[in-house]
Amino acid sequence: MRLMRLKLSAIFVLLTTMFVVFPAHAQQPDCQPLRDLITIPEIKSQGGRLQGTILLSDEQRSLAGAATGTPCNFQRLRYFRSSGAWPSISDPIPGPTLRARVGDIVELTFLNQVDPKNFPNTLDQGETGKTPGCDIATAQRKNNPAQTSQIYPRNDTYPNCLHGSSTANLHFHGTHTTPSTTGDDVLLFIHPALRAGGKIEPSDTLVKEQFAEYFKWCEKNGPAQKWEQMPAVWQTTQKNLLQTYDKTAPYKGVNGALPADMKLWPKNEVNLQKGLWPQYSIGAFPYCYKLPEYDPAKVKMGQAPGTHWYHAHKHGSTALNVGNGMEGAFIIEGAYDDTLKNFYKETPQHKNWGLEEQVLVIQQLETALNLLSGTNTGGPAPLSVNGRLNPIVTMKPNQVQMWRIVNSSPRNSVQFDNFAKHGKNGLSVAWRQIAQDGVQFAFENYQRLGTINNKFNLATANRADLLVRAPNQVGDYALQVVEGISDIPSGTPVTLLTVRVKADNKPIEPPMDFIQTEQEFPKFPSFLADIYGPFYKNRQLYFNTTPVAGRNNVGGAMPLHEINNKLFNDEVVDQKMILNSVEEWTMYNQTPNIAHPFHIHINPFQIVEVFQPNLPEAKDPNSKCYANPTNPATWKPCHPLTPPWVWWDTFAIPTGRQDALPASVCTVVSQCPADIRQFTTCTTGGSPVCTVTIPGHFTMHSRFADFTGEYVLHCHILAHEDRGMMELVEVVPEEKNPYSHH
Amino acid sequence: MPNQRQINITKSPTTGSVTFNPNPLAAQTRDQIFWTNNDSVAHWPGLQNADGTINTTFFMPNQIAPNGDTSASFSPTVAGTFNYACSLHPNEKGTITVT
Repeated sequence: MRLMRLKLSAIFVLLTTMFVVFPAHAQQPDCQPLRDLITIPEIKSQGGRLQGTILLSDEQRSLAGAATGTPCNFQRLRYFRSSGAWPSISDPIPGPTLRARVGDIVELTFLNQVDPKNFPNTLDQGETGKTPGCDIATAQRKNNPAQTSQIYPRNDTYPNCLHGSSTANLHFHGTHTTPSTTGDDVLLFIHPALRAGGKIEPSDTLVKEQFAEYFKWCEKNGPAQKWEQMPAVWQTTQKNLLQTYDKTAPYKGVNGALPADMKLWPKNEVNLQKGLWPQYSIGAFPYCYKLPEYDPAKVKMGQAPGTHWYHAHKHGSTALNVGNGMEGAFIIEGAYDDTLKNFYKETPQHKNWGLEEQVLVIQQLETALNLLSGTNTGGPAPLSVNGRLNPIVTMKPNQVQMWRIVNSSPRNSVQFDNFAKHGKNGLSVAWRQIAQDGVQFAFENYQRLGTINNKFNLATANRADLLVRAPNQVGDYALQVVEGISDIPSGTPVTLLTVRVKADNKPIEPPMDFIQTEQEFPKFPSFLADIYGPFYKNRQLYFNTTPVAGRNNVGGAMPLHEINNKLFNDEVVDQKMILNSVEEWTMYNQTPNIAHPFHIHINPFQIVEVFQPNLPEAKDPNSKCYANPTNPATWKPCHPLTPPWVWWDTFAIPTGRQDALPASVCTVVSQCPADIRQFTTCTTGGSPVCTVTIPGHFTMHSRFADFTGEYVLHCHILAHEDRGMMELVEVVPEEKNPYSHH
Repeated sequence: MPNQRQINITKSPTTGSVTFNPNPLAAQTRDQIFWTNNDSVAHWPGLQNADGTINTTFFMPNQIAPNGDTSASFSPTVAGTFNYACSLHPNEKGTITVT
């Protein structure tokens, strides 16, 4: 009997080992296009509470190669999933869709159970050479393959470098909530759980018990203000785990040799002594905060109901983490949804109606960033939707569906171009846009911008809600998109997904159609009325990449991505705003080939002016819209945006335009017209040429409402953010007004 | 679009010998290759030269801590065969084939 037990446990060990070595779901990777769209499992709020677990785990998943590059293969990805049942497929699907309602309280357990052994150099500050903390990558020398050179970090320095990608956190992109403590706090570093003797610390049981206690407290009191308000056992657990990490973590190939300034617990202690929230946790973190309902007696702004999302946002690894799959949709419902569902509901007169919804998370998945590889050529990662290339979305003839689209790509913008047409009548699928970045359009904008098949460009992090109408004719309709990183997308369209119109035995009668009238369209929330002055402050921010002439692979410096000529410093607040004040900001971009997508956390903004110097009309000297390189007075938009203005939380700053000046204008900067000198550079030598860069820009209005605290603004091309294109901002109460002389 | 490639360093519980897995590793130029040390002692893969010597820092500047990951990733830029050996235990050998 004892022998039998031994045998059984040996088999069990063998099976467990196999489970670890091979993915449980398949022996072969599968990246075939034209498979059914996967509906992502949801964590849905109940009784006003969004409760669930987001588990950061790692597993071999099928990763598609670029069209010109590697084939589909298994890659070990770190990704979000829920802790319970999860589809046993190898497709790299996004994390669970969160679905709450305005007014709900969020009570999410975040578990980081990545095994860092499977990923090189990825603890918070990794092992180190001369540049402590940054990832280190070597490559063969092109001219002498028997030797290697360091290709990373070169001129990048900690913390503005790629590093620490097994450490993560959650950013709830689009939420209007506190940026501090257990709210939308992206300055937190949640390390992987410790592993000793096959056990994970902190254990799931302890986390469950301790977080249940905190969530109960948070429901009553709101998010903790101080660490001392956390359950006492949790405080002790974290202290012990961090001290264990400090004693055992590897440094330069030796365990337990971490230098004093790389230890984590002492850093937490400093924060705690100052009465601040500690930055570092091991293994788990409880996110608890409210999605405020608009009530003028309590808040200036409410949470806008709409399509938002969440993703990892640990400085130094956001690009790789989001490229691995640490993202998901966050749908916050409200009156907007009630109106839409009511309009499309099934009645005796509307047979088989009902508003079917598709949540579509566009991803651009990869395991290895270009900067860490031997050359920087080769195609970017392909776009996928919910983990699959060109999946099939099924619709019925004459059906209208609601599509919630999130562009979670860490890099590329996606312009929705058209659906392929079919048949003699040129029938096709049609769309009308009803919301941008999780904020519904005012009816005027639905009429103006949400016209049938009006093209729209989603930069990384942008969202759009669409009403999508299927034609009466069955068939496949390919959705064509153009991807890129410019504000003026060009290039060959690719198929993002395919709509398969298929009849069943429940025909839709009469045909569903778009909403036509203002009475039927969701009522625009009063707190999202247009923001006008007077403005407390006007700010100008310059986003720039220098030098622009690409990077030299081995040896030379890499371009810097900076805001106002500097990189992120987590100890310096760059912009201080007064609570509930209204401001006007203009964002400039001189980079000629990259439209840096500007994103600020916590509060959305309204775009009131956009200037794109690379539009054909702005480049045409015969056009009334010509932007003349020698006359900055013409560097402004030709077509004003009229209110009501659209709300965004991420907006790509239009690219700058470089024009060479005739020698008759100037050949050295000091001779150029005074008003363009700061935008001009000149070559030296035999026949010098001066070049003017006309910056693209946009202007926005925002209200820094309801929440004080520190948070960030940054470029949403996430590798730029990781490398320092980010600023720390702080909203302070009126009594701490730094601009007042009292 | 490069991929990450992992080589596991594992000690056999029965024979006590240390092996690299997979061996040989098939990779492509631009891939990021790294070693994971599942053993309880440090290892340090280096390029095996034709004369039998080991170029210790060819792949990484430091040894790999026991039960740790590498201190760097290595990216090949040209196709070819890399024979490597542990600088600390030269009888532990492996191969990377780059296409």
